[in-house]
Amino acid sequence: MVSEKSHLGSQQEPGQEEPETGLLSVPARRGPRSLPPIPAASRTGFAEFSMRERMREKLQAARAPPGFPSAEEAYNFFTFNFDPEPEESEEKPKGKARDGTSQEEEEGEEEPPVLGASKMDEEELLNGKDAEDFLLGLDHVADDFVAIRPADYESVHVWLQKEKEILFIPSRLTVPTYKKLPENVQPRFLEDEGLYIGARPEVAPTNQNIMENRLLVQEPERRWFGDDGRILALPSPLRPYPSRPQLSTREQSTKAELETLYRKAVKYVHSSKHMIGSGDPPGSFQLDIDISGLIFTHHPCFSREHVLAAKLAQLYDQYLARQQRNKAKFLTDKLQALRNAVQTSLNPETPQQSLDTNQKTINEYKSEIRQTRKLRDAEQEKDRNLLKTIIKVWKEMKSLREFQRFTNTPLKLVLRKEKVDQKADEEAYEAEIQTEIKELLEEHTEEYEEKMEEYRASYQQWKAWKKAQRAKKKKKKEAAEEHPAEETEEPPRGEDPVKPVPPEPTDPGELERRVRERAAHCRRRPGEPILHPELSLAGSVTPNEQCPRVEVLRREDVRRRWVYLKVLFNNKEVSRTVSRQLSADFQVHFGQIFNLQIFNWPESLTLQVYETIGHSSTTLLAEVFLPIPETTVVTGRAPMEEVEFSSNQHVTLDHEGVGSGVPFSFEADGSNQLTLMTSGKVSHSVAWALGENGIPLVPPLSQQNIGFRSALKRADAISSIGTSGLTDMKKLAKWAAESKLDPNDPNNAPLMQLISVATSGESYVPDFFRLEQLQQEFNFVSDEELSRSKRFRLLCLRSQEVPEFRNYKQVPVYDREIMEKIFQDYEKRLRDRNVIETKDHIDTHRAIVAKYLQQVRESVINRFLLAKHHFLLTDLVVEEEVPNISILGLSLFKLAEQKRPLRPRRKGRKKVTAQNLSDGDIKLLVNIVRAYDIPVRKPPARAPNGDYSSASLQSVKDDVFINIFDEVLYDVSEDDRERGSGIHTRIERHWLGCVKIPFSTIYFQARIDGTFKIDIPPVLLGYSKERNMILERGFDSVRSLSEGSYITLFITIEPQLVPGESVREKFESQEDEKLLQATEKFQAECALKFLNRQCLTTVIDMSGKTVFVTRYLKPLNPPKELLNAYPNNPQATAPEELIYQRTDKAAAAELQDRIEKILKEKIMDWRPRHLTRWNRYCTSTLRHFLPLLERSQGEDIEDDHRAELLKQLGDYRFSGFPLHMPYSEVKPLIEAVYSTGVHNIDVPNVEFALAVYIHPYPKNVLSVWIYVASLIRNR
Amino acid sequence: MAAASPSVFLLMVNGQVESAQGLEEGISQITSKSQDVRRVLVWNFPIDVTFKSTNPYGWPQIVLSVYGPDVFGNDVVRGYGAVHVPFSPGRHKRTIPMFVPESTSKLQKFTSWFMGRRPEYTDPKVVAQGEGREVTRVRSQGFVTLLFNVVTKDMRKLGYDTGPVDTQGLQGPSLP
Repeated sequence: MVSEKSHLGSQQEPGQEEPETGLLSVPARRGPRSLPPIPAASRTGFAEFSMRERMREKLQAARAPPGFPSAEEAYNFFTFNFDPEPEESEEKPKGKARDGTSQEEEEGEEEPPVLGASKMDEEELLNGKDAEDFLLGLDHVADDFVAIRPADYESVHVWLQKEKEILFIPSRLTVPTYKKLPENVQPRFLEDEGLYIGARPEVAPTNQNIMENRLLVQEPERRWFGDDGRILALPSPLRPYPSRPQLSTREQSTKAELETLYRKAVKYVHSSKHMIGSGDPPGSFQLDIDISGLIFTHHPCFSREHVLAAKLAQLYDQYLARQQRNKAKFLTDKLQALRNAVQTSLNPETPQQSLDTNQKTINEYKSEIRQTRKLRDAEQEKDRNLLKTIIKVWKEMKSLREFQRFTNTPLKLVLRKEKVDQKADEEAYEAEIQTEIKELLEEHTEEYEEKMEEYRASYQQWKAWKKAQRAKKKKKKEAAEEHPAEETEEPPRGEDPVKPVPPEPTDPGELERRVRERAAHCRRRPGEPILHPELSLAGSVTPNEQCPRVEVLRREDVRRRWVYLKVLFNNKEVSRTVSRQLSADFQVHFGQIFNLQIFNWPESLTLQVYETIGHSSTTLLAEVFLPIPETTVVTGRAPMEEVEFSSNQHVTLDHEGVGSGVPFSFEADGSNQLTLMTSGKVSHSVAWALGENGIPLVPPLSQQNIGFRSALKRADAISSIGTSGLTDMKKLAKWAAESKLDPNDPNNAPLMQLISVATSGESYVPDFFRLEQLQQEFNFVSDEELSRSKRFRLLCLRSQEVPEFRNYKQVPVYDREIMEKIFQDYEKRLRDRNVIETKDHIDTHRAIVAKYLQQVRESVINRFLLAKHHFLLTDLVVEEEVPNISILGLSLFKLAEQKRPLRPRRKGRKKVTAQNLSDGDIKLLVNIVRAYDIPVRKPPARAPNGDYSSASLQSVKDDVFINIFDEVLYDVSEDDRERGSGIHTRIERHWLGCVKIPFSTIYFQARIDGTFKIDIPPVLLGYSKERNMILERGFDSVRSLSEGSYITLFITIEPQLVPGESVREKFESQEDEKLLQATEKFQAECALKFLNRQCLTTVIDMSGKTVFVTRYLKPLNPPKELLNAYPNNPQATAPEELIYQRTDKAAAAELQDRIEKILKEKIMDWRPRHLTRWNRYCTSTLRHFLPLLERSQGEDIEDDHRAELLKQLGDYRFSGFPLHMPYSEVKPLIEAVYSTGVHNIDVPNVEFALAVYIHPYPKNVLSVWIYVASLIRNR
Repeated sequence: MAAASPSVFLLMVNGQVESAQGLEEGISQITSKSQDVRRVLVWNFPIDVTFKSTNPYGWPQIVLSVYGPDVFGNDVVRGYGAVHVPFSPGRHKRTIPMFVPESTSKLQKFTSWFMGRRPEYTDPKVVAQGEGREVTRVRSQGFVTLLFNVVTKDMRKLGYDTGPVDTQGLQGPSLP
């Protein structure tokens, strides 16, 4: 009976607890064989679970054979007749419940005997089944009364045993260090390594040991232990000393404490802690509050445009701030640096400490790279979005302005485009993407491998589980033949492992797509110009007349509003600003400074913003709290600061103003509503005033809060030595030493470093001296950057007076505005300095010489520029010579001179400095007085008309050409019948010769007055150089002397210019000083003797030094070719003779062809509107003729030549002439041909002929003949 | 000092000032000493010039040369002087000490005095530059006071900060 009761009890109880027992029993039975595969996610859960589980297993193992139900159990299971239960209890759990946990724990050791008894009872029960119903009640009663048992006793030993199994009592013994550390790891004491370890809080060693033991069992991962094998602990938060002032509890008794003292009564002053000491004269402290102005960032009277403008301005400010910080760039650089670091550490050649640490650092770098990249992407995206937003708002604003057809704000956004190198940009973009993809791929691969590993492990587990499951199922199947319903119970519960899914490998294509997408999202597209927004106030506001009524109303409303500020000191109004009208741009300028003579220590400073509308009452908009300035902030040094304020007022207006605190919308349909509150900024500065002697009028620090200072003194630097003391290193160091700051505490690290740096200066004397050691700090940019600046370069070049930039005006302000091509010419010149350009010179030898000459010229100019900076007294000061008799006499003679009023004289003019002249101001006056012996036209030409009347002034470069032409009028009437009604003539000008005068000569001489020989070609077809016998008498004498033609000229410049400083031809010399003096004397004597003769004693050599001219004087032989005439010249044997190389005839011939070609092309170029025909026949004739001219030196062949030409070109009217010049460059030849004006003939049927002949002489001396002619076919 | 002395001014534009508009060179009226005790010569001669540059190198200077008749009635130079145009905006008063070059010898000095041809600088611009001055000897005589009213524009934009902080007005963005 007894057993039955217990049995029944056991039957019912598990029935009630079914879910739990069911849960627990299944694994309990299976337990010893295999544990279920554990889902990886719930490790800790498993840990907890397994603890209990293991204990249970142990118990079970002691009791029952593993795995199979006992014979009785099986018997019971199949034969027992159960009472129907109200719950949906099933047989199976009941059966299982026989060895259920609850029962086990309840009954423990007693279980086996009960099991034995129940076997008997069952048989009885089976027999007496019918009687059971009747006896049911009695049975129980009997049970209650009858059961008399001894008190249960369990021995202490048993109990202890039980407790030992259930409870865990950690040991008190010290845990050996090796247990607390991972295997094979030596404890590491960071403190010994010099790292800072805070003081650990005090804990009793036993407690610590217990904790350690417990942690070792419960948390086998040892994550509670530090590297030193000790349990982790934060530094003790306790201060070593109490911060409350200590009562002096020395020997004195309490009585002494209570002893009363007499104190004189003091007048009560409220808020005495803010009171400044009574000893100081009142009012000697002063606070200056400068209220500069106020600006609304939102105001009810804002129009929609204003709202956008405020937004735009705010965004632009944000943009500027971001631009200044330029975080994206910083992060990009950092990323680059990190990548480089990874690269270098991956490089096998770099010395490595150990493979392990290296790998570790690389991993660290990689994670850093990941972080940085994420940050950089975020920053870039922000930048881009900001730019987009700015542009969007600006577009909105523009469309709004267009829509409302008036403009309210002068805001104007200019987007400056910075061109980028498309190719480089694309490459950089692509490279960045590729790097990113590479990195991501690497990361993903790592991750994938990790996952794969995990997957494999879990798959193994799952497989094992599955196997077990299958085995069980098989078994179950056997069992299920009788109870098929139990199958439904079987589906695995939540804990049953799911089949793990293998991780998917990353698709590189997908990855690339993602990276590209992100890059496109947050980065500038390659080749897209970089946009720089620039906000200016350059726009104009539509005047009132052109605005609609509502807008005018708004503007009027704005004008009616006045704003003033009240200044509150310690919550008392002390002053207020004047009331100022709100300006159209919602700014108010006060510009007032309030000097507050203060008596109390400032507690609060408040500004109240008041607004008055028209004549109605004022409203308080907002309160602005100003911070009390530091004692070091004094007037004059305080910066202007802005404090924001906002108001919660609700205003609705009946005009364009959007109001405050009420929703409004930009859309026509009223969507996207926006609610803005009145807000703004006050710009102000608060500072302590300075006294007469420059002492700030600040209340002494000692009086501010003396009460608790001393207590904090040791702990807090500021309260101990004051704010100002922080800048005094000695004080600070002293304090640090006194308060025993831990130098290793990271909190103190900056301070310690500062102190060590500051104090070491006293004792540390470096054993070297460095000049300008602080230069580095004052360089505002690096030298490379400076040299990269185009503007700086331009300024430097201009300052150095480099020819290309000498008078460059208006150097642009920004680098970006300076075009690269400005430097191109200059750079080209620098490059070409050593490159010999043969194109212009035709033969290389001449090119080299020309280049050399150019270099010499440059070096001489440089010398000259240097010499210009050496001054003599005469250069600076004009001082009259002491007059001598001759000067006096001359001036006396002048007085006595006869007056000739009719004689015209040229008057002196006022001189003008060149610097205030501009283009076109300078005129060259040429007065052609007379010319004579000008070639005259021969018959059959008509009577001369307008002879030598025309002179053309051609200022080509620096030369003035005076060309003499014969102007001929031709009758071109084609039909005789027309002659009666009109005259149709054509003017032709025939070139006769020229005079060339360099402009510089005119400039330096101020005027040219004299007779010049005209350069006339040796042959002038159709002109005779015979003398005209009908000339005035006066010139006979001159004529008889001359062979050529002459012209008398007077040339001057209008206005008269101050001649430029003449080059002083005194350069430093290496000649003997005595000799130099002697030459000077000699020169002076010569000048006196021969007034008109130029006497040279010294010249400048190529290096710009003064050298005696005699050094260059040596008799030299002329070339042999010229000595054919003097065959027996004995001088040929001179030792240092000049060697005359023969000139290459072929080269000369080639040059001849080239010159001819060039000149022909030029003539065609000069006649752009006409057809230029070349008469080949004539050209060849001329070509044959030119060598004759060279041979005869241009004499006595004219007649033959003309006859020949007439014979060959009889039906042409021919006008032409040969030009004879020495050859140096092509350019003078071209100029000479141009100045003849041959190309100016625009007769329709004109033909040209041009022939060039070069006669070579030794040493590359070339004589050039150019024959130019124009032919017009006679009719 | 003689009763009348005109002055010549010249604005020395050296270096990289890129354009100047207004009177750059000129002669003032002839003035005489005041009748009061101060006995000052007042010209009150206004000069109005605008300079434009993107670089402060060669900041403009004003060069003054004062001429006045000597005892024989010859116009002789009474002083040279130069001063930089102040670079901060506002009203500035500058008093320039004037000087003249000295004769090289006693005899020269006498003859120059006698003939009224005292030594002069070849170019008044010499006093605005330091170069070559070592070869001259000068004597100081008198002062000339100049009053400048300077207005600058966009100095800050070009990166030059010439004014005190408080003249800059509202700081920060003053956009609506």
